[in-house]
Amino acid sequence: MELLEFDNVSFNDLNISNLSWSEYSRVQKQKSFLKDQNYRANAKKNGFYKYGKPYLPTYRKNKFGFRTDEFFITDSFIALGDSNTYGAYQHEDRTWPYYLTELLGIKNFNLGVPGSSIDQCYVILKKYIELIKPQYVFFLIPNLNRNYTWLGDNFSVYNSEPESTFSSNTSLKSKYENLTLCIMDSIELDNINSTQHQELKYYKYLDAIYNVCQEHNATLIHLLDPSASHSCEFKVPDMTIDDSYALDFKHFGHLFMMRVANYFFKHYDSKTNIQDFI
Amino acid sequence: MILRQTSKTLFKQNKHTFAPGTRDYLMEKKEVTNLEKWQKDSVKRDILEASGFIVNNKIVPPSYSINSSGFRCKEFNKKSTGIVTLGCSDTFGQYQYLEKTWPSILGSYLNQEVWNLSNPGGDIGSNYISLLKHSKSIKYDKIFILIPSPYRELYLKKIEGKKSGFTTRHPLGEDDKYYRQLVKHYIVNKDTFKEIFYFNVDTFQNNLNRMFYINSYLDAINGIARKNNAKIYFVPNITYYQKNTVKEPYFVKQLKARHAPDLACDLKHFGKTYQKIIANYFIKMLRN
Repeated sequence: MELLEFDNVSFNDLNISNLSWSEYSRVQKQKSFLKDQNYRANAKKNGFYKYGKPYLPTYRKNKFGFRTDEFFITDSFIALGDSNTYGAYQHEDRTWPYYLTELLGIKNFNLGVPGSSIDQCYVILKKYIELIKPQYVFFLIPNLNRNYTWLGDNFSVYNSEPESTFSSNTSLKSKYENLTLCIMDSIELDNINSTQHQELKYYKYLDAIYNVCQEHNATLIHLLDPSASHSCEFKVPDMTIDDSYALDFKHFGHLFMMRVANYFFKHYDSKTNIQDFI
Repeated sequence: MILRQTSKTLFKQNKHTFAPGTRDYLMEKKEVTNLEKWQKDSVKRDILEASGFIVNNKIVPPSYSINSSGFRCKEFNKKSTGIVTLGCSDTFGQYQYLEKTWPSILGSYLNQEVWNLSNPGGDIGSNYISLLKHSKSIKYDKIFILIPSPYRELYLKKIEGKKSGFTTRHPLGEDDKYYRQLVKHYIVNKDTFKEIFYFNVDTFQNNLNRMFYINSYLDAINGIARKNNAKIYFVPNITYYQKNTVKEPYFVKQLKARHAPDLACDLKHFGKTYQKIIANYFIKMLRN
């Protein structure tokens, strides 16, 4: 379907937050984790030590900034989601897209971006699906209390963390009083934390993503991330999540990744897709 | 495996301009008084006459028959395959006879039932919610959208003592109810109010922001359409041309409608000529 054309702008002009996550700072952070004995114990337990030495994740980037190969058209699937798809503080061969490739036998393109929201995932898919033309889109839906918010000159992912807010935005701080920005933060947080807002986003963006997939002859299989604390009343599948951790001791680990891959593998060929739930 | 529960709040929200189940809703007393006043004004009387609201020297105001879900169409049923129409007051046919509205003209042309899910003051977001809520109660094979003004947007309204719900805001108007709510809930002083207002004006005049808002909803509406094997046809409302928002000069010739001699009977909304132009535009799309 052709969309409504606006003067001089298109989806390509929309910003993707956190796509340029700094590798240097991440590697430094990873090293600092190991100074703490609890983190060290976690690292040893969850495969971040090899032959008695730290074995830390590395992060590659393709030309668009994703932790995946350069895009091309082949038998493949797109993995869509946030840090749990990207594999933050995790080895690439222990992420669910990697496990799912082993199960399905087709290539994966990991379009996961740390800190992503459901609306940003829609934008990512919209921008890049044409370059990949996948058979499937597997979507691990991020926490619904993140929003793709307009910050004056483009969109950015907004959540309750201080660095994403209006009052922490350098460009806005030069234009507006601090009190104004703090009130705008209160309004935004009230909004994104409300059940209605999260429900609307869930339905709207799943419908929109479903449409994008259908337009490109791809099948959509989605799962509301069982490890995220959604503040609205959605049921998620029973899934053990906390028996392994990533290196930061915050993200869940390779066993959770395996279960997500198994869930998608179990459902990729069934008719249990979005249309059964509306 | 149940992936999600039925929505607890979104589907229960039932906010309509006209109370559901109101049969033959007449215009408000104030509006009828206005009409009587205008009848004595020769210029306005001429417009009303040209617009078809004066019959045998008497003003005949339109009435609205509203179904139990709050829409200007029959009770929802799945007896036959109809069409869905979405939009704002221009699609609802506010201050206009039903048979003169573009959904009605289009329905007659196609010989199909019209499920008019539009609401006065609505925007593309409220259109999506209406379709999401009622899509399962009707059968349809086409969705026609007269995309409402880009300067409207859904927002979550807090209602004292009640559950909050979505409604439409018009942030370019300082007196919009949205700003009244801000003052009430966030104790905004004059300077802060002005800054928030200017931020919103910049936001709503930015094409990138509007492009994302409108097109993400169009994708979502099309997602529902696909699940129902329906096709979608849309055209932006006339407000899009006034500030060079959209690239393509859609039905530029029909812009003449702005100077058409007829209006709706509030003398603000476009009249039967505009309604016919929109219907013809969609008919042309179907033929192509």
